[in-house]
Amino acid sequence: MGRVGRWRFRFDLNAQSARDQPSAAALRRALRAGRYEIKCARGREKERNRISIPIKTECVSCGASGISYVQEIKHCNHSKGSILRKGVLHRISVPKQLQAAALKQTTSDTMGRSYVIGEYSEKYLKRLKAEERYGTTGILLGQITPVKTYIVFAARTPLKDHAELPPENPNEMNASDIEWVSEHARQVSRMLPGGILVLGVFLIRPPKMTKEEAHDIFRKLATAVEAAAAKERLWSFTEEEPAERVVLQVYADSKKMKVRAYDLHNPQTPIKMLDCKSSSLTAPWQVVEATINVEVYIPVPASAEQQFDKNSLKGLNSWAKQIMQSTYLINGQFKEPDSLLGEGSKKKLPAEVQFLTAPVPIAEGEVDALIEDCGSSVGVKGTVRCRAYLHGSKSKVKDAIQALKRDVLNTVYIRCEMVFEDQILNKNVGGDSGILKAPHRVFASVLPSGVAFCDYGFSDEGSKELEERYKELLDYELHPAQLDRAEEIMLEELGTEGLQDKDLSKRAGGQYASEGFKYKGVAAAAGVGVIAVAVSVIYFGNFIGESA
Amino acid sequence: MVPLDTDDLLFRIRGGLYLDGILNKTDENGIKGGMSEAIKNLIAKVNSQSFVLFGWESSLYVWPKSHSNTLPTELQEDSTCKSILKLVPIEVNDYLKRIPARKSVKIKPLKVVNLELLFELTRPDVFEIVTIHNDKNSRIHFRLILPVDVVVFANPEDEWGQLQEQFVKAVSAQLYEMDQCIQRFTKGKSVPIPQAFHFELPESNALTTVIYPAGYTEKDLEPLRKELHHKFSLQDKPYLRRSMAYSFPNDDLSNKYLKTIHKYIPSPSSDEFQVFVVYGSYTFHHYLQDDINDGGWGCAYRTLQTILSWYNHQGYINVPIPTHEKIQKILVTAGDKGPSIVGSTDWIGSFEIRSVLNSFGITSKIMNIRAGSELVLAARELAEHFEVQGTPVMVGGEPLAHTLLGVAWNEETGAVKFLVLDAHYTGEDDWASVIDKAIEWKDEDFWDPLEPYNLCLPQRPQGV
Repeated sequence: MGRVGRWRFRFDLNAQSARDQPSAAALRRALRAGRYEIKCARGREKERNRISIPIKTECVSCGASGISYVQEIKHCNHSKGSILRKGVLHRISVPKQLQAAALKQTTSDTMGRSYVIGEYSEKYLKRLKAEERYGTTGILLGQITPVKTYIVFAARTPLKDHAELPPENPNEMNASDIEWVSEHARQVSRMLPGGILVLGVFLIRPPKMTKEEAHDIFRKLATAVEAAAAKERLWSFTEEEPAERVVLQVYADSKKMKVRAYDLHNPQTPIKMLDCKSSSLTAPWQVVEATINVEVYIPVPASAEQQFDKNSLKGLNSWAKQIMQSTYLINGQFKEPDSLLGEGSKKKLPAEVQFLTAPVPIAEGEVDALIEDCGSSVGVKGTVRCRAYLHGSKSKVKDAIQALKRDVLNTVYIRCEMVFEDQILNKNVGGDSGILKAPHRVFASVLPSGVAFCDYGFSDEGSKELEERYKELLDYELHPAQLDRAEEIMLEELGTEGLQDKDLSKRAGGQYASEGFKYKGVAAAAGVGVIAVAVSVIYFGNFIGESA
Repeated sequence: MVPLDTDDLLFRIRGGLYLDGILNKTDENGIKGGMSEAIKNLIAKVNSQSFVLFGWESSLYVWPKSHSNTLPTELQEDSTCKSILKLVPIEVNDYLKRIPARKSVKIKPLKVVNLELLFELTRPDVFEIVTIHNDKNSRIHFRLILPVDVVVFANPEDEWGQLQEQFVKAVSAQLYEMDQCIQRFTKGKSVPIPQAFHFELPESNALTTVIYPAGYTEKDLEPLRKELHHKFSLQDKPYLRRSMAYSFPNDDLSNKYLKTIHKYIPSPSSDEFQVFVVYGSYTFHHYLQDDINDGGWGCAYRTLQTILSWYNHQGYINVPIPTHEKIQKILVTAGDKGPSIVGSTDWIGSFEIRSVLNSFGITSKIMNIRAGSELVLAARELAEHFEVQGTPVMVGGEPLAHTLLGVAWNEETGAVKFLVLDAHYTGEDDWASVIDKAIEWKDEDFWDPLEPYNLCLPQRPQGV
């Protein structure tokens, strides 16, 4: 039969489906030219030594193109592949180097994402297990990269009012329990820098729980937690980003920790049960930072019911889009999006990013300016300091920039939200024209890898409130020395502090000092229950643990 | 006019600048005032550290105000401008260099450096705490994108440091002019977007930029043009109609027709001859263009296409160049020909040309020459035509039609030369071959001495 000809390949690593078929005529031509074999095979299944990689290929002779499933045969220098089309195949040959690239890309899909848990989280979960706090749930925080997910932090869900314990068997969790866990997730997601997400929940499994139980609850938890975190975002994930969220189970009677991964975009995909690899994750992470000016004016239509409330923040969407499209420089230089951030070197110096307005396309055919009426306007103005963390030395520039841009959106949105929540708290709804100050951002370096969480507060507030919040939401004892008041320092050096005193009188009720952290009020607005600011945890029953 | 052989570099700064804001007043004056204020803020931003210029397709970012850039080893304050040519790809029409030297004037294609206008979001001059302001007095939200398009000419030996100052000044000046345009043309709540156009003027080697409001017809803008003509001391010929804007090298390269090719060949020496040529621009149409096989019969149609392109380019009409079939259909509608002409390969003559031009609102004169040898006698009249009307002329003889673009005559010897654009050219549309074969100053013996000729002289409408 025909011999294998020389082929030109176009590798389309995102090739998804076998729907691109060369025409029957093209294939017949190729057959007549005597170059190809007819074969009938579809190589999709994983055999022991064979992995099929879908790549797009094109025949140099007849131009027939399509998706090939290339099978790697380890003992050859080449791997042979075939294009499946209506029972007729072209035989092709893929040099090993090119095939390796394709293999790497699709590994994550064919072999599943792997999960790595860091030292801090592991110790924390083991401690909870040792204290026999069965039924305790909590959230997991970390970073999702194309191939692996890194869990860097875990924090148990705070107890409800009256220090009510969660049910020991998760099957008994009701809707309000799930809502409670999600509310916790929502609040914690406000404390995250760029690159760090809420990954899911963990559970300390009670010893007698069977394998089949609580599937439903787990899925509900994973979905609810992600939905809650999504409320705080002006951006959404792109299609390429994996939508896997997890429930991590810590087994009472063994050393194992198993991860149950749910694909939130495709609820039909089977749930994967995976092991969690341990790694210290204490090596420093790459930091990217930027200081960015915000100035947005949002018109509010005269017909809007409320002229000055959270809904006004929807007007930030067009600003958000502009930020996501902006161009960037890293340390004053232009870098290609696909290049490595650290340029492969082991040293991880913080990189300062500059954002520039994206080139604006001049709309052809537009003749007049847009002039529209409005009833009032909401202006957001100020400077924010943003930060994102990237794991490892192989992170790409485009991922770092995306994480940092998302942090810009997060921090501005959260600050504005807090101002509005504050207004509701002080019963200042639909308030008078005025300038309201939003809180500062304060970072606190919590992990040995340098990853910091953040919180918001006013400059005259001491660190006591911050410490309380960290204890409550993150179950972490914060030391004042860990605080990094970057924004306040910049404000002193470069800034205008003129507005501060004037505003004091404008704030109703004079409840100025502890406003930023009055999450009692926030939770009330959300209609969930109350998370007390100062938590004293008392465990009842047969537990040995004492009051905190 | 921008000289054809110039060493100068042209820096073209383009970008869309967002003008987005809220106003408290709703009347016309309030809106004008608000726009003015917004543009003033924009000018301040341009004069600040957050103004950035980016070289297209390069990795060069420049901060003109702080005199820094992303490639400091290559481009320093005292570097000459030509060092930028190594860092940013230039826009240039290299094909012009292939025109055979024996037939062309000296050509050094213009080099254009394209820069994008950006602002930096991350260089706050001041660090302010984030505030939210509720303004209950806001009544109007306006938004427009100002299409900034600034040209700055520079000598390659000029210092880069100096040039950056010029950039800032030029952009600020254009923004100011755009503000003037908005102030002048805003009516009620309708604010036209100001657009920049670059023109070649006779006395200057550089380009002159004029800001026109979008959405206005050429007729409406005539008073403005008259003012500008007065300001620049221009003759009573069109110079500033928007379709006459300068074609940059990429515009030429992306246009499938060649434009104004007679400027690439030298005219008869001015010591001996008085030269009168067509005014303004046109595109060259000839046999076999656009995959239409009209070899042998389509020359008059092609000449007509060239003439119509002249009217397009000077902005008197705005129509797609009609195909042979369309021209035939127009003749049928006008009653000049029977319907059988449509789809045929029939020749047309100067009377038909006049008729078609008529259908587009263009008048023309017919000149009748009894025999080719008498064409020289018409030279004076032709000279006057080119002087006053400046349009291309169709010369219709029995076998062939030609496009006449100019005459030159020698007072002493009485010799006359004719600038003929050959519609019978069948080659490719590239500068080298077209200029080699399709355009030339011909002598009197070019015309058949015995044949009669009918000339169609299209007339240019009054006004500028």
